[in-house]
Amino acid sequence: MKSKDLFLTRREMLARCGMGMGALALTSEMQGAKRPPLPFKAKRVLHLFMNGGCSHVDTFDPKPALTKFSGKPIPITLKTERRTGAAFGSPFSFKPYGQSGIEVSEIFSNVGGCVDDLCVIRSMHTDIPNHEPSLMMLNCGDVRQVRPSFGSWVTYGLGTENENLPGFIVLCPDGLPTQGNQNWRSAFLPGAFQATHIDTREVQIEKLIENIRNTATSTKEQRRQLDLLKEMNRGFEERRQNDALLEARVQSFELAYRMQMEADDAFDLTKEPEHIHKLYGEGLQARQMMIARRLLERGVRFVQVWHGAGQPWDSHDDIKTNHGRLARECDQPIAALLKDLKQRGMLEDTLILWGGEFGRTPTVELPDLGANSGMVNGRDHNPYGFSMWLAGGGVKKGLAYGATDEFGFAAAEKKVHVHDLHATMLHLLGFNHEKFTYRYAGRDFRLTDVHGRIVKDLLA
Amino acid sequence: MLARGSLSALFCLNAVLGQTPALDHFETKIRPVLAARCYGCHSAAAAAPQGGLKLDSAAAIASGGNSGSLLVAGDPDASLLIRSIRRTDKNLQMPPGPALPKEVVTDFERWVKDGAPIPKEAAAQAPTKQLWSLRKPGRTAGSIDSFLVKRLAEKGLAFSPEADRRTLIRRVSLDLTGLAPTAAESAAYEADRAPAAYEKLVDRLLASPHYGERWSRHWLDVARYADSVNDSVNAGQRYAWSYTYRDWVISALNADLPYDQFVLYQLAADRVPNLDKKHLAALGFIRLGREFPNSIAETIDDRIDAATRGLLGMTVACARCHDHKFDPIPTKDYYSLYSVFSNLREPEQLPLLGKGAPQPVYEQRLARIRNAQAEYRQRRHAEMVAFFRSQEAEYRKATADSKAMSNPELEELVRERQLNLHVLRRWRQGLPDPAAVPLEEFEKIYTEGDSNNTRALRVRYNTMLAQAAYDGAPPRAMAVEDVPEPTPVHVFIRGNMNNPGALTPPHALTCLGGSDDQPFKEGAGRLEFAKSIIDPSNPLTARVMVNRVWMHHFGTGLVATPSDFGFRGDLPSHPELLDSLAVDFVESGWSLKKLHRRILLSTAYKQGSGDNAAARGIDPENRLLWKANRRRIEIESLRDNMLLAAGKLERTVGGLPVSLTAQPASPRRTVYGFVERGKVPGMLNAFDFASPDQHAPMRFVTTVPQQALFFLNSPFVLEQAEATAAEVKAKAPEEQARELYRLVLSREPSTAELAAAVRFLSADDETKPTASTSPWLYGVMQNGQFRPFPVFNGDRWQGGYAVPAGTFSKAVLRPAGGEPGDELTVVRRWVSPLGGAINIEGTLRHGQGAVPYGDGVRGRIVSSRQGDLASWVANGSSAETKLNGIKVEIGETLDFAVDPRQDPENDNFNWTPIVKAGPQTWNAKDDFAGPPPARPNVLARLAHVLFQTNEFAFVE
Repeated sequence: MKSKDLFLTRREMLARCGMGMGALALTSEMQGAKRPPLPFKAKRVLHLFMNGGCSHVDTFDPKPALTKFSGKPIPITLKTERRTGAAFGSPFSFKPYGQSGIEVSEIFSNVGGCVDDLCVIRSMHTDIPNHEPSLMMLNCGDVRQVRPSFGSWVTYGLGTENENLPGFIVLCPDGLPTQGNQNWRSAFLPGAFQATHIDTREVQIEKLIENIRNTATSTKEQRRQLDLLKEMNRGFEERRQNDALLEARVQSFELAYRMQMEADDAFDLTKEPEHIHKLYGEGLQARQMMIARRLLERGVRFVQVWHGAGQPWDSHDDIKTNHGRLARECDQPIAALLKDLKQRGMLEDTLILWGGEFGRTPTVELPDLGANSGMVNGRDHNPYGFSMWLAGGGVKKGLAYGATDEFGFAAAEKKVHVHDLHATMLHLLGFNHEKFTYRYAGRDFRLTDVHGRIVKDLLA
Repeated sequence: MLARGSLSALFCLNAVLGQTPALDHFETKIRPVLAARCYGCHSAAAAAPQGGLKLDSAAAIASGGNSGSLLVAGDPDASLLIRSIRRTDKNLQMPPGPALPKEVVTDFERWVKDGAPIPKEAAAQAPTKQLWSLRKPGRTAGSIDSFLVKRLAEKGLAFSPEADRRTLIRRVSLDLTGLAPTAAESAAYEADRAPAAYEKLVDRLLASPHYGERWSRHWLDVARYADSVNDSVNAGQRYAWSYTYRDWVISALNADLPYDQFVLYQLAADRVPNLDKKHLAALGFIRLGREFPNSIAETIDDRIDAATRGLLGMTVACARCHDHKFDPIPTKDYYSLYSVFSNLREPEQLPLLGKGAPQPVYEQRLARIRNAQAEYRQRRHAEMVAFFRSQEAEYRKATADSKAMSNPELEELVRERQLNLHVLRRWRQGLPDPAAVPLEEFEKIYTEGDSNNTRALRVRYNTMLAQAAYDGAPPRAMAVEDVPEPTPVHVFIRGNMNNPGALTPPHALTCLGGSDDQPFKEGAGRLEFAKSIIDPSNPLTARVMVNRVWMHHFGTGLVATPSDFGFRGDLPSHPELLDSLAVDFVESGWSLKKLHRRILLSTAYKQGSGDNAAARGIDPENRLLWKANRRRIEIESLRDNMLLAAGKLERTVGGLPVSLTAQPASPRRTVYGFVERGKVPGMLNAFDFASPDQHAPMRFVTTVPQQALFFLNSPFVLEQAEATAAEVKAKAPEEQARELYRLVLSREPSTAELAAAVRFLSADDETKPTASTSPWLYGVMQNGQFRPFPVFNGDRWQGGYAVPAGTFSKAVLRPAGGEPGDELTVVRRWVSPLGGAINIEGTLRHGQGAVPYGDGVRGRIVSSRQGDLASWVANGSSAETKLNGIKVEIGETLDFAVDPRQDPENDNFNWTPIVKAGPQTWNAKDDFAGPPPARPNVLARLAHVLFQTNEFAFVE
């Protein structure tokens, strides 16, 4: 493409396209970054997904009353997935961290060390005590119906800053989480806005991105092929004047050619210096968090990091061992990621969300045939109240917001629904959640459907 | 708060609308108070109506909020609204802030006593403006061209000159069959100067069996066709006989089955008297959509949506929670169709469509699983009934306590007391022995563990069924039938299943003249629903279909929103033309082939796609069709045409789905590719394949680098490039280039092109890198012989393009494990590159679920020289497979062999053997690889470039 053609006016583009608005709009939407309609604080999103449902009363929501009443019935009964019994005090101790003095559980002591950068929401709630609908709610804003994921909406709205990498990347080791690809589907948005799932257990680039590796020829020979292709396409186009679609396709080959080199680089952790490896520590979670940072750094718009395949945080039994182990795996890497982003000046415009699809009951789960192993030392799902935290991109620092009731069963003060969280995050990204719509099947769809309000108190 | 408040009666306000009202009272005393004190939270203008309640229109007041109905006309005491403003109820005090003055409360009471009348508002009722698409299509005399020319002339425009013959044969061939003409066909057509040559060409293509293959894919997008139920995350999601629906569509299109029958059979073939049984396959249209575990309402929603948007261009699913905001579709229409689709079931035995080898082995296995299912059910049912009997006192008390309770209150009670709602309902109905819930209702009383276990058993059954089908079981129709006694359906207020409103008998859509008064009578009403769609007086059906056909020939429909003919959809660019096509379509006996013929013979279709700056200035989107649109070819055709150029395309019509990710590639057309819902192959996804998650009105056209990566590096394209080059007979570069141009682009190269190609061919300085050899081989043991797997599919070696695959049975090998076949040992073979002592590590693992079945697997290590070295069994367990100090010679093989033992079910295993010799290590998982990468010669690299050209990717 000749350089002047890069600056086609919209009308010129349309005139050349001849494919109707729809096709052109999509072609241009695929390419490059876009400014959001409103002022924004965050340019990209990092979602750390503690899938399976992390217990809030064992991590970020200390409940002395629960410890006090441990083993005794509590006056709250809310329907969860399974039967639960008496109050079950946290087996972990809490202590205040930082200037803000926000209390965090011992199992997240490293993240606790960063608490002055966090905005902990202790009054989250969602709708249904089952994984599938709650995953769908947190990811797609609707418990059942086929709707685009948050990441798809964001990449649809903001485009990508690095055309050599996908704009929306999901990291999950060892396979897929519950609900699989549905968690990052684009639904009625174009397929290009669906996330690319990457198994972070893999180290080979060709297993990370399909067809990324040229195994057939030397790079030099591939260049020679592309030069011939350009020549052939130029001849074809000369007979057809400039056509935006033809040009876009020519460009996409050049882009793909460059992508082959750059993608390698993004996933190559040997390029990280020793002190960075030390900061993140060992293991799969450290590896994931480092990859996440490298992707964000390269302009990937939305990175979602899942703890693992299936639903690892789903501790129906043995919460002490299981939550202890899971937190041990990710506490240091998450804290490292926060520090690393901060020292690179990226925390300011990266919006980080941490949490699971719901919390867990403050009461102990009772044995049930075929459902748990009957140990009576775990917790059931709890959509009524749980904790999540935000950090970076325009949120208040060192804030603990809202509260659950005295036992931690349900959000009680300053409740924040998942829809509200979405509305607030979209606001920080420069979108009015009520106006950020997509017309499909006769309706203007929104991430927040007909719900959601911006929680102003969370904004810096 | 209202959201937790109780309600004692359900009531439909519509019943009182239109009574003689004291409307003045409402306007002067009630509405101002609502506006001042309530609209802030409860109106359409409120950011998020609280408790799902709006008070700013009659319809909104009538439908109530999350707590249910608001008013009981004539009975203030029973009305939620009055109770809340009286503030007598602790949980129910409205509005927030100071209580309403006593006299205002009295005004409200009087209003309710009077029947709570509200003036009718236009906005809340069916839109008054008539929707264009609901008017009967009228006939205006004229040809396709005359309608188009008229609009063009108004703007001072005219058609472009006719496309050259080569362009035209390519265009019409790709449009009708999806396959480009061969160079010979193209040349013959160019030479045929007879006046009827084009017409003959069109007729030849319409008669081609490939026409049905091509156009079936358009329909499969409409029908959200897939070969698996949901995500493949869970095993056993594969449909056994999905392909019989796809093949039915192909053969129906090839036979030009009239479109009205085409629709009728897809909705109700089982209800049409004396119908050839082969048409039962058509019911896959209903059956093959997404299924939502634990949410039948979503499955039904998907069916309503596919039927109404797909066949009528009406967005009926918008009316699920409220009357359609724009189109004349009330909520009751939605629930009327809900009852049509909810009173369905899968027949016990799916109807046979043809002959196939009897499969006593599979029948035995299926029967065994059915027995396991029945046993489980009976055992757990008996246990549950005994348990409920033991709770008699609790239920007796709950029955007494819940006498006056509403549904939400009842739900709350059973939650608090941990009782079963269904059992309590039986108690409340005064049934004898209420604990003895019938066995058929087991699903209403079972526990979460039971739900998991029965699902696991169902998955096991479906897995076996699909295995039987893919192993040659006689084809069956994915049919449905009505339940013997249809259950009436209520409106679900705000889409909430637990909040039933008025009863909705099944009937035709209101906007098509249907109403409660004329309910469907036969069964659940599916046949009558279908007939209401294909009734020649239905203004939508023909318009929607001719528009789809038009869209696929021109790139854009006359209505640019092909599945939305409502107020929010686009208006037709040429309404008279659309109507004329629709009327003719019906009068021609709903013949799609006649419709194609009419369109394809028009001057409009035959235009060139060349630019015209003046016309472009006036109509940049080409809505008036002053030229033909250049269009990107769909992925199906791209792939098919590469196979065609390579001389590999298989032309058999119909059959089992094949993997599209296999190496070597399946030679079958892409329409036969296995479509896994939620895991569509990257190739299809990158090229805007229609998501099978829901009905797809049209495909997007995106240009992303993943598409280019596919062309640059995918094994598929490389393989076809090599095969195409192998077709070339000539030896001289110039002749070779000519042959390649003919094979790939069906034409001769120009002088400049030829020169460039020859230059490319002559400057070959690629050195062949030496391929590294892997010591691992993958296969099965047959009659004592090692037989390597022929197909590598993404992440596994297998016996064919689908599994089970003939003599390879269901055997596969994956990086960390695999599965043996039926009475077939699967083998990962290590060929020793050295002589000396080695150590072997690894763990053989086999998993069992909560309801174990099968007998696990046996793993062995067998040396070609020393025979069996060791053997282990894993059955829901694991075994360390350690051998130390084994002496091997160069070329000796060690087989890591796994067999199914006696029982061939549930034989998935994990086993990553690691061979160590001094510092050297061979890790079966890390070393796992597919076939070695292609090393195309320079001729193949030229073919590769030709596949990448815009000319190959576009139709003009």
